[in-house]
Amino acid sequence: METGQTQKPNIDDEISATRKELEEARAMAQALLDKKKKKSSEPINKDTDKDPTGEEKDKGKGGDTDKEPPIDTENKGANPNPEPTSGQISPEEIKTLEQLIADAEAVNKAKLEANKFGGSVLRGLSKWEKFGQGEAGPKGFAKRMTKMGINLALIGLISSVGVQELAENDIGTATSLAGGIFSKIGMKLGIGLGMGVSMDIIGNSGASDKVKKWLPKVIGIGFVGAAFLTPAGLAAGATAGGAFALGLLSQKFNGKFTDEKILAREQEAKNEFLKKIKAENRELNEDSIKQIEQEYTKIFNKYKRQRIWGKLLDGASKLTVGSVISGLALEVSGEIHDHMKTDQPTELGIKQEEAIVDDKEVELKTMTHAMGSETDSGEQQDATHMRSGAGGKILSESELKNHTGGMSNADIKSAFGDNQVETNATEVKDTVESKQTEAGIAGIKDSVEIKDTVEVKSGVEIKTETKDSVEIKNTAEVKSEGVKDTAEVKQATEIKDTEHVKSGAEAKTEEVKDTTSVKSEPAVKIESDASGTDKTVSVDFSSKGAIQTILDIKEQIRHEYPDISKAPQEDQEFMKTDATHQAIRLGLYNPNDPEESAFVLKGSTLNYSHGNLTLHEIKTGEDHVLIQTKGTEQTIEKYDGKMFDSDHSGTKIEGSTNTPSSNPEITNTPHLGPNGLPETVEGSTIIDTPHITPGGEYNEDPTTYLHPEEEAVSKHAETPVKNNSEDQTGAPHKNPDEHPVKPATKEDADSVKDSTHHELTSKEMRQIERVSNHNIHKIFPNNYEDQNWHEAKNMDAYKLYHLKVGEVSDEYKPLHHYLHKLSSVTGIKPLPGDNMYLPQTNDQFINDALKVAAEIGKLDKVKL
Amino acid sequence: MNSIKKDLFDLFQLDKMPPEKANEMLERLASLVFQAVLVRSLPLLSEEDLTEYERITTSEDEDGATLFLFLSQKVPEFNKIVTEEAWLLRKGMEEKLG
Repeated sequence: METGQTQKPNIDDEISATRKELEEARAMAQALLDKKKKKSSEPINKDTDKDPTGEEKDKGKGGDTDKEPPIDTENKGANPNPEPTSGQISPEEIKTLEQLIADAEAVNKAKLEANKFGGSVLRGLSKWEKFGQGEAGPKGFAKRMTKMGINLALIGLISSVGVQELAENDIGTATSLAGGIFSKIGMKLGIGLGMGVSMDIIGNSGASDKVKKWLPKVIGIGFVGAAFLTPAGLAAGATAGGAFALGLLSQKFNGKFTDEKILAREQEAKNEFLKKIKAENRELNEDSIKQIEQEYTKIFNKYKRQRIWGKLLDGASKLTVGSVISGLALEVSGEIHDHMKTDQPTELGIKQEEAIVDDKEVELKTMTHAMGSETDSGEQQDATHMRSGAGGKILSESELKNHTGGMSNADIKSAFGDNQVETNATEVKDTVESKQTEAGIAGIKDSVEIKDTVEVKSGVEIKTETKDSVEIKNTAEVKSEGVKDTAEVKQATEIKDTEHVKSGAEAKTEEVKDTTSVKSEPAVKIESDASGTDKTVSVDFSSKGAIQTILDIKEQIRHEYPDISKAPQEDQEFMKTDATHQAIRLGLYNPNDPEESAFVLKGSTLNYSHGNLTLHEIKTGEDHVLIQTKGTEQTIEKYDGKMFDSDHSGTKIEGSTNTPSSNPEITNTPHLGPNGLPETVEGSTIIDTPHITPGGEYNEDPTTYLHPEEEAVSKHAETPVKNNSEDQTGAPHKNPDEHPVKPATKEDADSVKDSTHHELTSKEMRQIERVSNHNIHKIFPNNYEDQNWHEAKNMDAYKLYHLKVGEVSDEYKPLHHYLHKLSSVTGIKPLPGDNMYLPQTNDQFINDALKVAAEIGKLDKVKL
Repeated sequence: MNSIKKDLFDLFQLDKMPPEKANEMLERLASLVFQAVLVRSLPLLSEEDLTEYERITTSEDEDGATLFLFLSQKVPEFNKIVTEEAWLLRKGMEEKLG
């Protein structure tokens, strides 16, 4: 397939071609597998009849007697007995593979001789092959590692079937991972350099047996890295076939991935680790790797309960570890900057160098985003789409705003941080074909901008009546973050790849054209009055349920107010309230009833405007006011429509026992707890999966986790939309909406199933206080005079909770135990922090948990 | 073992080789792809860029990383070319095994 310099890629053609490629690859893999099964003991045809380009030679097949190497194309479905990947390949098999390579080399050589650029090609190849060779010292080491990383990428590209497999395993966001990783990490640090490190070490005569033990693991990291790296690694910003498919598949995920925490932890771990290495002046060794792996394992384990994440983690976490290890190795060597510095004093080079020197966090941040994380705005990344669609597409600021739910660059900057903005803006610029030089490597492959566009894919419909809201704002700020020519952003006028726009969402702005409805996802509409002050957020009732619908609304509010503290008070209160809790309050979800979900037809909408929430039912055309806010007074009228058993379980959702009431009620605006959880409202059973085994161990098995919203998705217009549908996003729950329902174990479920939820009375509040004091006194005998408690109460409960017993110092073991006890009884667990909220402290969690315990009648169970 | 890793590993059996051999194989495979990419890429370069390419490839001061960066910037749809060439290589090898 030839590519022209001036020909603009057609996105539809690319999509079709990519799909076709993947289908062919799949078929090819299947055929290969079938052949393998059939001929597992047959010899291999050594003098094969096709060259690497697929051109037929005039020769038959199957006539040779060499043994066939055990090639496995990783088709799980077709191969129930895949060969083990451990063990050593036989010398004969190595010879076979070498012969294959030799054949390919011969073919290439023959082709080259006839090529008018043959000499140039050979010079380039020679330059590449000599890269890092024969150069001693850390500089040479760094070069070899870089080369290794790129080589791995090349090899990874060959493994497109693997990429497809990845896609089929729902690791769609790996596209984004690939999208950004290479520009910052791959180029600068050399992703997959774990293998480089390994090779370098193994190449030294001094490599000990002990060191050699972990080499395979590091090599593995490298290869995994390559797999992710591949599509974008060499991609210069566009897509590789497999990755593009991933992008398509990734559309179905629309959850919120909190990558900020990962980033923070990564940075922290990295800094700590690097500091230690430098202080000890030691090489990367087994202990170092173990240490950093442990750190990262902790970080990523947190997400293992998410189904999709759980799948992603296996690769992504290793990638991260491998990347960081590689980066650390380079940093330790002190050659990171020199190594990647281009000798051309170009603007690009300067920018790159500045990026490298000034902010390594960008690397990690990019890496994190690239891992498939989503932004704090909850938009899903899809580098591939944007990129593939890119090919010269430009996003104007207005488009950008529309894509990001009204966020300007400045908004994005505010939401993502400065570094992120730089990446965004650079990415936008990169889409300008004629500006490739200026675009620079750093921005070419970053996926962040793509991430923003996914909002369009999610079906955002934005009607902007206030012209000002679509104009570029604060371009100077963006520019100052590294974008050289913001005018390019302004010049953008169209979006070609309208397949991003899904869910029947109407792109009303003139920039978004050719909208196509792809599949059912919530359409979001933000309408403003002329003044722009009275915004109404309208969200299609999610097929994933009321909770998700509320989350969708929150997401839009978050877009409107990146700094939520600047939102109207009622919006802030709404944002603070747990979505699950909110759904229960509104009667849209009743986990205590077998018919736990509101029977709402698809097409119905939930509309929010300044504290007022209305359910518009499409069938009747009626609007049900669910929340009406006047000043500080809030009137809640529960949904009194039909409910149904969305999960066909015939049972109530374990862990929650509130009984919805159809009676309207008037409450004061609930006083919100530290995590945004109303402290004194009805229906406040806080439901969260404890993930605690009967033995008190944290259950990290991602496959056992079921989100409360897990169920199939209704697909037909006239079918009810379940309120407890499956969370296919794999998104971690953001605080304060991180409240899964189902207990992890049957014991947990039984322990709370029969509880009776009720609103807390003042008497019960006093009981809570007594129990709390009692327990603290038990744990810290001197209670409030105890310095340990004073320190401990403000500590990160999430962190302490997730420590293993053996990792907790003796003085805090009782508190650690207490947290787990609270969690196992109540079903909630400490909330992590995110970009909006600080992590829950021990004191906060204890208070929340005790209230929940009281609400479900289990206060006595948590008394120590 | 996750599918990607397994696939990659199984694809060329690199994980089952001694590291030195795996490294050698990796180099050779990557060179194959890189060469094929160059064959397709160079005709796409402008005259000016081709001159720069020649400068990079003949200069002692420039290394492989510079070359790679240059190509990734200057060659239209570089990734696509790489993808296709890598794909073709694999396809060819698989067919030979078939």
